[in-house]
Formats: sequence, structure tokens, C-alpha cells
Amino acid sequence: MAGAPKRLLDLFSSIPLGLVTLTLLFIYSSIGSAGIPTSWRILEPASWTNVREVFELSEFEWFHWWPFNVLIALLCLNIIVATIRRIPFNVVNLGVWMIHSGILVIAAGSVWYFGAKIEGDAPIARRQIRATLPGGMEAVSTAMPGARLGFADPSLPYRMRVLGITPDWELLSGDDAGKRVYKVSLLVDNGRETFVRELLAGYPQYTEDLVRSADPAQPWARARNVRGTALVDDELSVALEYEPQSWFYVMESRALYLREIRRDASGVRIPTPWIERPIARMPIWSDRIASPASVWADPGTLLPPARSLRVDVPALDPEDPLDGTAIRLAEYVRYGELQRRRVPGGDVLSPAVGVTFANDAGLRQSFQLAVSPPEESRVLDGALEFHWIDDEAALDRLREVIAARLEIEVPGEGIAVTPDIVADEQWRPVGGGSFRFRVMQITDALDFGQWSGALAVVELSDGQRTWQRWVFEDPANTREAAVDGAMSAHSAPAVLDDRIVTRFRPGRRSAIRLVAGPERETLRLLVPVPGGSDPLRVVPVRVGAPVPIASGMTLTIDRYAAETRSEVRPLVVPPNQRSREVGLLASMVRVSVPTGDGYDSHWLPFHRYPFDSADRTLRRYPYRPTTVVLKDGREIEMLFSRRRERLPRPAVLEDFVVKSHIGGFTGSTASILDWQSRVKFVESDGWSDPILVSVNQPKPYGGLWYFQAQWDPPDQSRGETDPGSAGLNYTVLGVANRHGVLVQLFGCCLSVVGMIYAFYVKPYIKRRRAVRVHAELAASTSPGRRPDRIGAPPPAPVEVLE
Amino acid sequence: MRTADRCMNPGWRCPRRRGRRPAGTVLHVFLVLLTVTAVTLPAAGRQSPAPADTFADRLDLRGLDRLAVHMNGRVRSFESHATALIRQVVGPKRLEGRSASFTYLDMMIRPERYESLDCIWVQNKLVRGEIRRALEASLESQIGQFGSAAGRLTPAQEQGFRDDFRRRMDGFMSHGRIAPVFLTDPFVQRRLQEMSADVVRTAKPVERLASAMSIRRPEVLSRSLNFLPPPSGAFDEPWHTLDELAAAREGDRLREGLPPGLRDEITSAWSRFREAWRIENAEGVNDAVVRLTSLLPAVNDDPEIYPAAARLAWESWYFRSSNLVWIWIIYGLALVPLLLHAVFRWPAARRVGMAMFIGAVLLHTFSVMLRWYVSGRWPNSNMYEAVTTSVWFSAVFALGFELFLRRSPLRSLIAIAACVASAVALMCAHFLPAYLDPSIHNMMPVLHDVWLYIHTNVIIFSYALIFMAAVSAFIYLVLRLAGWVRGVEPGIAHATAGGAASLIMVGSDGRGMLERSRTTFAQVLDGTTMILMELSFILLWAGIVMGAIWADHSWGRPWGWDPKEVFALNTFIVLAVLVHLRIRTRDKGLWTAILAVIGAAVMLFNWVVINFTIAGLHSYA
Repeated sequence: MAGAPKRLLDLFSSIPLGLVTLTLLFIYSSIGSAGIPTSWRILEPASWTNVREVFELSEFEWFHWWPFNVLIALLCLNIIVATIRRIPFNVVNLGVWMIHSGILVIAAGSVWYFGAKIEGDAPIARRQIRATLPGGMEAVSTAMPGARLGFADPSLPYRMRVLGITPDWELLSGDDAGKRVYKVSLLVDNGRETFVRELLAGYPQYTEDLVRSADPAQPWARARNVRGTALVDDELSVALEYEPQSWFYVMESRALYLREIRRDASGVRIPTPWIERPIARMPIWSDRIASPASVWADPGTLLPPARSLRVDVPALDPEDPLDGTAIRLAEYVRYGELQRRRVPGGDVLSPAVGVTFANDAGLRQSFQLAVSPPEESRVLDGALEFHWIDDEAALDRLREVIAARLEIEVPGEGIAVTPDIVADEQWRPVGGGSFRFRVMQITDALDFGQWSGALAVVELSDGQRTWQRWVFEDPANTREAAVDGAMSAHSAPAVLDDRIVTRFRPGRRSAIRLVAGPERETLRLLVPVPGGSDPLRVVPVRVGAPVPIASGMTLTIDRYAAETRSEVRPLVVPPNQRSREVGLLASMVRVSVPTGDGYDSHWLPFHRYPFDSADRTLRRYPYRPTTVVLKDGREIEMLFSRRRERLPRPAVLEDFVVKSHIGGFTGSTASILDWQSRVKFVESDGWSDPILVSVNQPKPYGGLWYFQAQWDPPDQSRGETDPGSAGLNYTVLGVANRHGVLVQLFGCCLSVVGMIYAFYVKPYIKRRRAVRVHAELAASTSPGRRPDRIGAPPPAPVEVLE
Repeated sequence: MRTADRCMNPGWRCPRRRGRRPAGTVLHVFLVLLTVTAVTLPAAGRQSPAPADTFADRLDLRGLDRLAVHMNGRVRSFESHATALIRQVVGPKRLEGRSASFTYLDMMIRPERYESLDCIWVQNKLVRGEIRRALEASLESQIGQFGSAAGRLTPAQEQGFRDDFRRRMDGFMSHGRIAPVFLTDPFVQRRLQEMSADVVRTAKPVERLASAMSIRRPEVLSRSLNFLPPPSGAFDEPWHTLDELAAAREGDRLREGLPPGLRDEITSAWSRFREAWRIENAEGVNDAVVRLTSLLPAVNDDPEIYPAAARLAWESWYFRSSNLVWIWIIYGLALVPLLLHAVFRWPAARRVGMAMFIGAVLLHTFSVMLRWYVSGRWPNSNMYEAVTTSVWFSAVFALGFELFLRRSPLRSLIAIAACVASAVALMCAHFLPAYLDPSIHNMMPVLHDVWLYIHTNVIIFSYALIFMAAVSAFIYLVLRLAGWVRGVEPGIAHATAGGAASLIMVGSDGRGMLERSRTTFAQVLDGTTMILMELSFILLWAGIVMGAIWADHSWGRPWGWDPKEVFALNTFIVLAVLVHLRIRTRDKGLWTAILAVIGAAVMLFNWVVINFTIAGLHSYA
């Protein structure tokens, strides 16, 4: 062979080519994995620039990009040609052959493995709650603390809410006494009374109701004991059932989900199933903002240069509600938060103002207020209010300070009147007897969904017992609870000791009031006068001028407009405030949807999972679909999430437990030994055998492997209507295939054996040969003499790998 | 000819100067040093002598060493518990020279003492600087309001304030501790709030600072002191504090589970303890400690629940002895005679060096085994354990090599490499406890797998070997550089047969390839580097493969391009380049040494920068 082919073969069999390829692989891997340092402080994360971000590639994509593939292919070619041409296949070189063959087998196995790789995760809730009424009316919700159930027919009086979930309730009686089961307490208001239905997973025969009792120390009692029947409402049937999961969601993927919302004759929503539109290619790391007016940005936030996105997402599914129409992704925010803010404009009177509080220490806090809706008109728990007045008389009314007043009367004992009450938790007597009370909390605007209003939480004592009374402005709502018992928003109004009469009149606290009007450009501030009871002082204000409101504190009006409209845009979080753990959860995309007579534009926040509805969500994961109304009146709901793949069979979670170290689970991950998910699959003829998936113990089913990936940890209450969570309501299983792993493993083992052979076996072979050669040489030069010391010139030294 | 020159030239032999004992003086010096070290080592780790405090001096808290405390799924000795928590508040050095136990209890019972005492440690120097600047602004604001300009202070008083403040801030910038009262200043609070928003640079240090401020609160310290085992004897029942026992009401499970006599005695002893401490009655405290020491283990004597007193005592001793990381001094001292032997071939120096090395290895082994005993698991599941166990592997390997191949020309060199590796690693553990936290915690659930012991140990052993190879390579490079500086023809010195082959193969004279008459010191160094590189090459590759097997069944993929995986592979690529470049290049020794050092640099990058700076799935290791 001569000429170009030989030169090519020489090139591909040369060691320098291999060295250059290895060096390039090293550089490529290093900058793709760690990035490039921009300063010598390499222990500072800020000193590293991620090169992958420039190319909009994830870690996985970087190592499957064409430059990497070319380098690997070049290395393999180099190994093949060099091994065949330069390393004779014999017993001495067996080690090198094994190493090189092993590397090639790994490469081949990796092509198979990564070429067929699919990886994702599947959240599986432990149970769903199914409520049924005679006639087949059903309401279904995933069993999550705080989840609500309601029948589609709004005329039905039933209101249901999960009051609490105990993931490891111990059975105290029956054949399975001592066993721990999943228990759901469902608060039911059937229009006639409120009761709690206790549901035990796997034990429907133990379902029973709790009803209100007259004992403040034990506010709920078993209906069985009080009324002689386990269920107070026989018509309502509630069951805990498995919650099947049919999908898993692919890692590092993104997709749009669309569905049409239909309505029945009574206007009840009937959503169709989600239809997926995979997004083939879009940025991961960098914002794509068409104009600064597309987003909100706090002062000092440096926005990237204006650059829009033009990614069309076509319909691939014939069931797609917008079949034949591509949806365009027009903008992308990597890390933001959707906020509704007011912008000047329009011709409707809707005053809005931006204010900043500042103190001497330089601490600043900014707020936005609008006259309506009411919840936007007050901040800092009502310390600052914003009002519009139509005339000066209204201003005088706003200047008044009215003290809150609480009256507690025990007929025959006396009366205690507390004007301008504060929640100081000090015991005060009522008359001269043993009755006393203390004020625990004052709330101006409690919102419990069914009712709202001002509230004083008072602890009462008659000398024998102590309990809490929630005293509302409207006496009809006043109710009581034991001190150590939970006050329920849904509990029926009840006063346990009617000897004690309570009256509460909320005050108008001496808050700072910002008043606009009656002229559109007039702004005044009403500031409390020291002493508290005098009318508020009127201070004219103008935009940009700080006004002292207390010692060392000022208030500045940053902006004001009488006519405003509200807009929803993402607030772009500055790069140095972005937490890496958030991943894509704070990302969002603006889509442009053809509506028939133009385009509708919406920001869609990223969802980790495209849940079917609000009552099928998992705690911690948001569900915020966006609805677009087309010209023809059709409603299309959209959601931005990840691609999904169907599981071989729908999976259900039979049981999920946490194994802990000594002392049990303390709330810290350090006390956890293992998580165990017992999963089974819905098969055509029943259930599959359960598989127990735990950490480091994956299990196969239907060609996929299932790994314990995440869990539902305990979570504190997030508000007055949220009961908090003891966790363990769902598991998240990693789902993946594993083609080619054994091939890779074989290649690895082959190369390890080859290395051992090359470094430690081959020298012995060569030593034996050298000794033999030397002995033969010695024998040939000195016949008849046994060589005891080899004196012949040594052979040229040989390298281990040569 | 100077030594360095001789080392680079063929025919270099060990100088033997019979009749003179040059090593005798060295031996004497090192024996003295060893004695001094042994005497002073237990004091290592103390910041400064404790100030006179008759109450603290009269206390005898040794009894608490045998009391168990439960915290987040682990039962540990009180000293261990106190060390772990107080370290988060005051930093790695002792506060006022007092034990962690004393500081814990004093902070819990007499918190007012610590309000204006510099006791909160701020590790991050950037945050320290910002706090100082905020306090300076606060001071100026105060002086503006109340200073001489306002007529409240004289200029001299004002200057005195400024001087005191500057001194205190200089101390803060130097030792990193600041009084809580400073941290509650509004100017500081505002700056901390701003810094907490910067998640890239300062959010974590500020979070740690907030955590320190929280932990020092007496109610938090009290709530963490779960002295009381579950009376029921159930493994997964929670432990309780003695305050909870005292507050338990009739009918409470906790109260009812204990015999009334025992319950009352415990609560009484605890109450006496707290009261005596509060009024600084040392004798009362000591009596209460004795009482509690006998009462608490009696609540539940199941060894599955309440550890044996000996185990608790050893755990306390282990932490009080600074985790024995001061062994680095012995390794460091052993280096000198071993180097003297390597260069001059003085037999006495080898004997001294090896004696010290063996002593260090034995102590190191004791330290590793003790940690294994008190933690109940092989120590390789966090950074501290990985680093200290890694070099223990290297030390044991070197000891075996030196003993079994003591006649080889490589003798002392492997020990030198192990000494350097161990000394450096243990120094890091000693001087950088903020990064290498010696506290013992439970392993993350994902680590409960047999592959933790296989994959991790193989990998960390290979890392130690790579570092050892870099040591011999570094000496080789120094030799080459010295020859080059002196203008001596450098020559091309390398082990002709490679690494292990140099020991296995023989030349025409029947002697090993590195034992022939023309063998130079540089060739021996190159052979040492290659032997270590070859072994680490195999172990690193095998370790990566084992990691892939584990990852496959743990995370669902054998390879995820995690930074830790990528840089382990990069280290292997450097070694692969070394092996192949050695075939091709003429100056094999030089390139081997350079690439061995680069390989160690990549390995250290993986262990330090990737772990602390670039997050990944392996951030716990």
C-alpha cells in the first residue's frame, strides 16, 4: 500500500493522533463540565463561566454533541487501526489488546445505551378520594392535605375538604391491631351539619364519622358513641382508592399541553384530555426577551439584550384542539416570577401607587397599592392603606381613629370592657368571681372562605377549665375551641358556655392612609398623631419627595397614576439571586396563539407535571393553566411542562414508608435510613405482583426500571385553611431503560483485566523469556558450563506496552 | 560533585561513611522532637489558655462524657454532640479555651454572658468585611447623634470609642468571631439581608451565620439536648429532653413510662444542675452530673438503644483529642530522616524514619479504627472521612511495600510519598476543619449500599496513590531543575522497563532493572512514579467502573456526566496520556513526572473545586 491510503493509515495508527485526541477530549470535558475560570479565585462559584450556557446545551447534550461524538469516533478509529497495525497479537501484547478491545466495547455499548436511553420520573399519589351520591354523582380528588372535593352539580350542598392525613395511623383494634395504615380525615359539610369522615386505606369497614361534642377538651366525638351509628350521612359514600399513574415525564424535555374546555348545558366545565406538543429545541439557560416592556425588572437588574425567540411548536396529534396551527414561542424567561402589576394607561379611574419605606439604616421596602380590589389596597398587615375619595367629607371620615372594643359579660358576676384592645395575653378578671380572660389575637380581616371578618381570639377560664372563643364582629359566627384542640374553619358556630356573653367591635387602627382625590392629581398622606386618639394629620405629598412618618423613617411615593390597567408579566430575577436548585421550575415562556382573528399572547409558567386539574395536583407542585378563547368561542387551556411517555401499565402506590434510624423520623433527612415504595401495576386481568422499590434497590417491570427518586416530606401549614402535611402522600419514582449496560460492563472488565495483564503479567512473561534467551546465549558461548551469572550483553530494554 | 549532580549521573551509589555517625545527631534531635510532640500533642487545637474562672476551673464535667444524646437519628456522646453544635456557632477553635461541653451548657444556662462576647464565627472573609463596613457606618451614625458634635461626648471619649471599635474590628477580621450584639445592629441586619439575596456569593455564608445565631439561643440548645432515651425501649420512639420530662403532665406517655422514683430523681437532678450552674456553684454542678450519669443510662439499658459507657467515653475522648489529626506532625517529622536516607543512604536515618513512620501509621490506624467504632460504620462517607481514610490507605500500602520490598532500590521513597500525602491530608483536616468537618453524622440514604465500601475505597485509594506518585515525580523534577540550574548535563533518566516491570524484570546481570550499577537516583524516582501510576491507573479505572455499576442501580444510569464523574475520567485520561506518551517520547522521565503532577492536580481539582464549588450528585463525597 502506498500513497494517500497509506498516509491515512499511518495517521490513524499514530500515537500522536491518539494523544492529541485524548488531550482534546480532556479539554472538551473539562470546559463542558466545570466551565472556564474567569479569575484566580477558583473556589468562588462566581469565578466560573459555564460554557454550555453559550451553546444552550445541558450537560447531557454537551456530551452528545457532534464535537464530542467526532472525538470519540476518532479515538476509536485510532485505537482500531493502531492496534491492528502496530501491536502484533501475541501473548505478550494480550493485555494491550484487551484494554483496547475493552474501550471499543464500552464505546459500542455506550452508543446502544445512550442511543436508546429514556429517563424520567413518575409521581404516584398514595390514594384518591372518591365521594359518591345516590344516582351516580361523583367527586374525585387526589388525597392531599387541604384538598377540596365538590360535586359538579353546584346545587348539591356538599362541601368537602381534607382536614388532615396521618400516613402511619396505628390500628388499635381488630385482627390487624398494631398495623399502621394511611388515614384521611375528610371534613364534610352536607348543608345540614358538619362532620369528619375518617377513612382508612385498605379498611373500608372501619370508615366512621366524628361529630362535634360539647366537651371543649375533646371537640370531636365518634358518631358511633354519640348517636349510635358510625355514619351520620348514609347517602354520602366516600372511599379511598388507588390513584393510577399512566405516564412518566422525560428529563430535560419540554412540551406544551393543550386541551379544549367544553361546557355542558348548565355551564359546568368538561375538560378534554391534555394533548402534548413536544418542543424540539429551545433555550435552556439564557433569557430571550423581545423588549424590556415585556417583563418587570427591579431597579438595578440588568436585562439581556433584546432578542426574541422564534420557535414554532406544531401539532403532532390528530386530537390536538388546534390541529394544523403552530403555536409560536416568542419569549423565554429562565428565572422569573409572574406578577400582576399596574401600568399607567386606559381611561378608567383605577388609581395605583408605588411607595417605598426607608429607615435611617438604609433599609428600604417597596410596595404597590391600588384602590381596588380591596386586597391590593393595604400592605404591612393594614399598616398602610390606599384610598380614593370623591369629596373632602370622605377625607374627614378617614381621619377618624376608632378604637377596637371588647366586652365580656358574665351575668351576675360583672362585665369587663376593654377599649382599644391589644393581644397582650394578660389575664384579666371578669367581675369579682373566678371568671377571667385574656386576648390572644386580633385580626382585622380573617378570610376563611365561607366567612370573613374581624376577629378577636380570646382565652376564657371559669376557674375549672380553659378554652378559646373566637369572637367575631358578627355574633352569629362566634364559636369556641379547646385550647389544645384545633379550631376548625368549618366547625359549626357553637358557644359552649353561654353564661359568658362576648361582644367585639373592631377598631379602625391608626394606620397610615394614603389618599388620592377628589382631584386626580391630589395625593395626601394621613399620619397618626402621637397619642393615638386624635384625628390623623394630613400631609400633602408629591411623587419622589420623602415624607417623614415616624422617627427615622420616611415614605416616598415612587409613582402614581389615576388611570391604570393591570398586566401580568414575569419579574426577572437577577442572576446573582438565582438558586441552582430551582432548575427550570421558575422558567416561563410566552406563547403566541392564533385565535382566528389575530394572535393572543400569554406567559405560561413551567410545570413539573401537567396535572389534569387542580384537585389532582400534588402538594408543592403548582398548577396554573392558561385559557385562551378563540374567535369561534372555543376555550383552549394550555400548560408548559415536560414531555411524557406512557408507562407499560398504569402504576399505583400501595404503600410508602420511611425507614428511620434510632429515635424515629425527626424531620431531618439525617434521621432517614430509606424510603420504600410498594408499587403494583394495573394489568388486564387484575394487579401485577407488587414490587418494592427503595433507594439502591430498583425493580424492573415491563421493560423499564423503577428507582426511588423523591418523596413527599412533612410540610408546615401555609395558611389558615391549610392544615399542614405529615408527608408521605406520594412518591416519585425514577423511570429508565438500561439497554447496553451489560455490554459496557463487559468492556470495562475486559479493560481492567487487560491493564493487570499489561502491567503485572507481561513483565513476568518477558522476564522468563529474557532469562531463557540469556541462558541459551550463555550455553552457546560456554559449552559445558552452567551459567550461574549471565554475562552476555543484555538485550535492548523493552517498554512495558511496546 | 554535589549531591544533586551525582544523583543525575550514572554510577551514583549510596555514600557509606563507616566510622562516623552523622545520623546520630539527627536521630537524637528527632527523638527529642518526638518526645516533645507526644507531650504537647494533646494540647493541640486549643486556641489560647483559658482565662481564670474559678467556676469553670472547679467544674468536673467528665461524667457527661458517658451520657448519650440523640440528634437526628444518631446517638452520640455529649461531648461529640456539643462539639458538633458549638462548632457551628464559635467555629472550629475553642471559645476561651473551654471545652465544647462547657460552652454548650454555659451558653444554654447563662446566655447573657455571650451577648457581648465575640462568640459568633463568620467564616467568609467577604461577609466579615461587609459586616465591619456596616458597623462602621452604624458607629458614624451613632457618633453623629451622640458624639462630641452633639455635645454628649468629649472628643477624647469619642476617640476612645473609635479606638476600641477599631481594635475589636481588627480582631474580628483576624479571628472571625464577633459578638451577637453587633450582628443585631440595624445597619448589619440590612447588609446581611442584602447579602442573603446574592445566592452566588454570600447567601450561604449569611445562612450559616443566621444558623449560628439561632443555635446559640438557649431554647435551641435546650431543645437539642435529648438526654432521655425512650422508656418504652422501642427503637424508633423519640428521645426527649429533660426539660420535656419536667414539663410532662399527668397522663403523658413520657411521664407515665418512667417509674415515679426515677422520674423525680432525674428531674430533680437536672433542676439542681441548672440552678447550680446559674449561681456558679461548681460543687453543686459536679454532684448533679454524678447523679445524672448514674440515672439516665438506667432509663433504658438496652444496648441497642443506649450505647455502652465505654463507647461514649471513647467518642468523647476522640473529639477532645482533636480527632487525632495532629498525627500529621509525626508524619512530617518522619519525612526528614527518610529523605536523608533516600539521598545519602544512611541506614540509621532509615531506621529512625521508619520507626517514626510506623508509629504514625499505627496512630493513624488507631484513629481510623476508633472512628469506625464510635460511628458504627467504616469512615468513608463524607469529605473528612474520605480524605483521612484515603491517606491511611496510602500509609498502610507504603508500610507493606517498605516491609516486604525493603531490599528494593525504592525503599524509603514509597514511605516518603505516603508521609507527604498523609501529612498534607491530615494538616488540611487539622487546619481547615470548616471545610473538612469531623463531626459524625448518619449517612445519606443513598449511601447505604455495599458499593459505597467498594467503589469509594477503591477510588480514594487510587487518589492517594496518584498524590504519592506526584510526590516522587515532584522530587524528580526538582532534581532535574537543580541539575539544569547548575548547568549539569541533564541526561535522560528514566526507568527503562517502566514501573512494576522494573521490579519484576532482570537485566543480563540477573539483577533487577533498577539495581544495576549504572542506575541513577532519578531512574529510581521515575520507577517509583511509574509503579504508583500503574497501580492508580488500574484502581482509578476499576473505581470508575464500580461507581458506574452503583450509579446504574442507584440513579438509573451508569454514567450521567456529573462533574465528579467527568473529572475522575479526566484524571484517567491524563494517566492514559502518560502511558502512551512514554512510548513515544525520548525524555520519558521528564514527561512522566510532568504528567504525574498534572494528574494529581486534576485529581485535587476534582476533590476540592468540584466538591466545594461546582455542585453535582456527588457533593457529599
